Amino acid sequence: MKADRILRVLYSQDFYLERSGDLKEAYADLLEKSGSLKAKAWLWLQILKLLYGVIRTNIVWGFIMFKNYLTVALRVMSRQKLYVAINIFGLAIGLACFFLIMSYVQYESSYDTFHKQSDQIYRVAHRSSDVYKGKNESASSPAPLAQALLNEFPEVIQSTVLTPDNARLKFENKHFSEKGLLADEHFFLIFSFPMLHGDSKTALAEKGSIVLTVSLAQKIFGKADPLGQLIDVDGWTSGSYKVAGIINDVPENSHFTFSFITSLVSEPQYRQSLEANDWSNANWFTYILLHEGADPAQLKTKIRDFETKYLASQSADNRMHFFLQPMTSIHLKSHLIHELSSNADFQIIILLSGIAFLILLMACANYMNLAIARSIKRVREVGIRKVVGALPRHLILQFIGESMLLSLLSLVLATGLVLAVLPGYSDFVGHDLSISYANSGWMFAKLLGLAMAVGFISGSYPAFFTASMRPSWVQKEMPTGSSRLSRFQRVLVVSQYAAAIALIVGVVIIYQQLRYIRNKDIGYDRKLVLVIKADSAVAKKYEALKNELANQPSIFGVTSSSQLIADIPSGRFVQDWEGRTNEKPLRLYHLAVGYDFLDFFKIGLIEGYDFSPKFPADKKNGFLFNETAVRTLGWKSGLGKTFHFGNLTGHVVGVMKDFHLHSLRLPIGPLFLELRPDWVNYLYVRISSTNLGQTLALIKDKMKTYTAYPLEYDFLDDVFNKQYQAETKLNQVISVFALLALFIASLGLFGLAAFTTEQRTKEIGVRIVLGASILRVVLLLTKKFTKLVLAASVFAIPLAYLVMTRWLGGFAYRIKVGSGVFVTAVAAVLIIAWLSVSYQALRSATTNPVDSLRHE
Amino acid sequence: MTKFMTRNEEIILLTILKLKGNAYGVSIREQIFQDIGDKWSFASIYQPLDNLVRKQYVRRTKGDPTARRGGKSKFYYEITHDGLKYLRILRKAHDQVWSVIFEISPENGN
Repeated sequence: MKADRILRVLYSQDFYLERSGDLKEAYADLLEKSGSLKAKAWLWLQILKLLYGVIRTNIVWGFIMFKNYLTVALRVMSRQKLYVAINIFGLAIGLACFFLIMSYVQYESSYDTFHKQSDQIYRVAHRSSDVYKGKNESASSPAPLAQALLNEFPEVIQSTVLTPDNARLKFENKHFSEKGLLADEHFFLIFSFPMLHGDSKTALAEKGSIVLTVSLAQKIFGKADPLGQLIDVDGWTSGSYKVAGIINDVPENSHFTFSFITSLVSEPQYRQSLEANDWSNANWFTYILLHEGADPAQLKTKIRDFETKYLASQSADNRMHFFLQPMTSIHLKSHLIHELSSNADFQIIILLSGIAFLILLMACANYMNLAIARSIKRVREVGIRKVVGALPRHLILQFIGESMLLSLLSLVLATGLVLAVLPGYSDFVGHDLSISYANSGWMFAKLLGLAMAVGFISGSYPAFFTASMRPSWVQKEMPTGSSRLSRFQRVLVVSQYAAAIALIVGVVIIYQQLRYIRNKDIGYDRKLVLVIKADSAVAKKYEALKNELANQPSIFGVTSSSQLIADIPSGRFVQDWEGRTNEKPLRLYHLAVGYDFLDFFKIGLIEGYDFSPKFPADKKNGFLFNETAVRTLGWKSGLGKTFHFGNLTGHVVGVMKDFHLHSLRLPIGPLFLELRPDWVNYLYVRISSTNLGQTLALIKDKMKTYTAYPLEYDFLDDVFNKQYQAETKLNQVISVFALLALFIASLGLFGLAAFTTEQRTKEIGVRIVLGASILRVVLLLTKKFTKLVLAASVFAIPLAYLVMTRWLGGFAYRIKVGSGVFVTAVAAVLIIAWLSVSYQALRSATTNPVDSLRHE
Repeated sequence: MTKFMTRNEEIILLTILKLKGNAYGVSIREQIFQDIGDKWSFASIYQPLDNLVRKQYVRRTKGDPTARRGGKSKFYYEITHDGLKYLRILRKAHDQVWSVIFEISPENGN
């Protein structure tokens, strides 16, 4: 029966039983008397009337009360504009910060999730006994691994091999330098890079085939059909490649990016590794696709037996150990050697999220603090509401509603703030965050949800507090305690300031460390040095180019090397050396250099001589060692000593002073230099500081005759600083948020001080009349806030010390944390706290006592 | 403190008293019809009844289901101690107020 169903919706169980029963009974009576039609009409009329009654009580009255609440809320707000402004502004900043940080965090955790089976894809990395650049885990793996895993384990349903390849592409007379990949034909079976033209199953199967992204294809071919065209590629291997497919551009949130893929079978080194079943060279990257629901932990245990089977040629203590990395966690958590891109620091992400919450909580704390303080003013209203029959829950609802209204207002401001800073912020984090929001109401929906939650949370405690005020307080006027802060309020102020102090200490320490890095003597002169990437054409004619450039008056010197001096990646094992006593082979960092290298970088010699064309024998077996290398091999003096690496016997012709091979995170390692004027990957040109632009143009001009590819260059100083980019950004981010935190905390304190001072207006008047000096009054009013800030520093200092010494632990060369930082931070915060409090104190101390005594 | 009530609530409270333990939705409505001559809607009975229960002048108890009600329980209403006390106060107030007006007798009105 329909009527019954309506009643069931309208009432709770008991009332439904009663009402439905009553109606049925009366309906049955009427049915006997007046017939079905009339009874039915009557029944529906009754239902309609019941429905109206329910609506009237619940909604109409609800609306009337709501209107009253709204009116009261708006009146209260307009009467206390200062507090409302402080609250809205604080909350808006909190909301905007939170939103901005969280959208960045969300972006960082979205890496690689665009692949269809992203949670079934794993990278197989390996651990070895060899510690290299402070690490012994590498993202790479040997060539035969992918096929072997597929053969051995049923849960591995697909595997692919790839390796990055930065190459130069040439089509007709157009030249491009592009970031690319070499990958085998299973690549598209694991990764979801949709292919627009061509067949993804066969595109990478043949020798000499290449797949381009849409934007690269457009860059090269314009509107012409690229499929089947031939492109010259100069990378791992040079050759002519046929375009076999076009894919969509790679999303930014992929842990490897590329604009083209060449087929891996085209690469002879790979083919040889496969044929020779070479498990010792881990030059490749292996990705596998596991069965849905397969347990990677189980695979992990089985992989031990796999190693003993396949790596039998490696001795047990030197054997590689393979392990799986879930692909979606690579960007956040993996920091191995040979990563395909620089990954995010998970701890920083956690830290940032922490700061976001902290700032939001501080804004909420502000709200609570001021709301509690202000509630005393509303004791009359609460009293009357209670007398008239408001239940505690009505009052709680009213006050939570008020705080939600306020947070909605601040939402409007926050949205404006977010929209205003989003472009700059996107630039700063390096990803365009606005794109994902522009087309959807998502951003607003999220902010709205956040604002409601914030309103609810920050409104709840003051609401309970207010609802518990007794009407009798009206008569008593709450003479005591009204200007004192409750314990809850004190806790809020202390935690706000503790957070601000800790953040400031963090900022100062990071800044000091960065300044230390920038000013530290790293052992070579990196000023005004231009680093130019050399291609094979340049390398062939290096001597001629060097002579031509060195003849220019604005160029002071030219040299070359195989790797960047600021971060030397490769090493060589030295198997035997003079005076060896049973030690294992040692790995020394290795750098192949051109003539004049030491001279160019102003690296001092301790003994022996620099490479020179005067000693042609050095080209074969003369080497330069650094001090650490000499020490590592256990020599007192290195000059003239012999050693063996590969199948070469070398002599030490000179020992140079130590300089930094890597960032200051790592200690200086052992290094030896090999003279190889033919092995040129990087050119270094030291130029004059005057007419920089002219000199650059000149170099570009000269280079044009040697290579057709666009010139890729950078200043060595910038290359050096880029190694600390993460730290520099971190410092900027934390500075901004520390300032905002301090601002929000002070805003709250300002409001609180204004309130408590107002409560004591009469007392101050009396004191002034009785002869207290203005200074005394100001001191009286600032004393308790000073205590709170000092209490905050007690919590903040140990916390900041612990976190920051851990952070500094990541650097081999670091500053010492002195007490000065903490004193400065506390003093700075204290001064700001005083400023925000004493304005109020001064104002009330200097008002005419007559006015203060007439107050209220 | 006494909680005030409307005229409808007053009539229903008195009807409950009159029905002596057999007061539930249908019987209350029937009794009012007999006494006053108006057929009240159920909505206008439940509204005051709920208010009376909330003000604790009336107690609501679950009875037995009957077939005529589609197997649903009756809910009986019974006046409480507070309700009686309030009725006495009300009666006294009424008597006081009405005692001044002799001219009007219930039989020949206006």
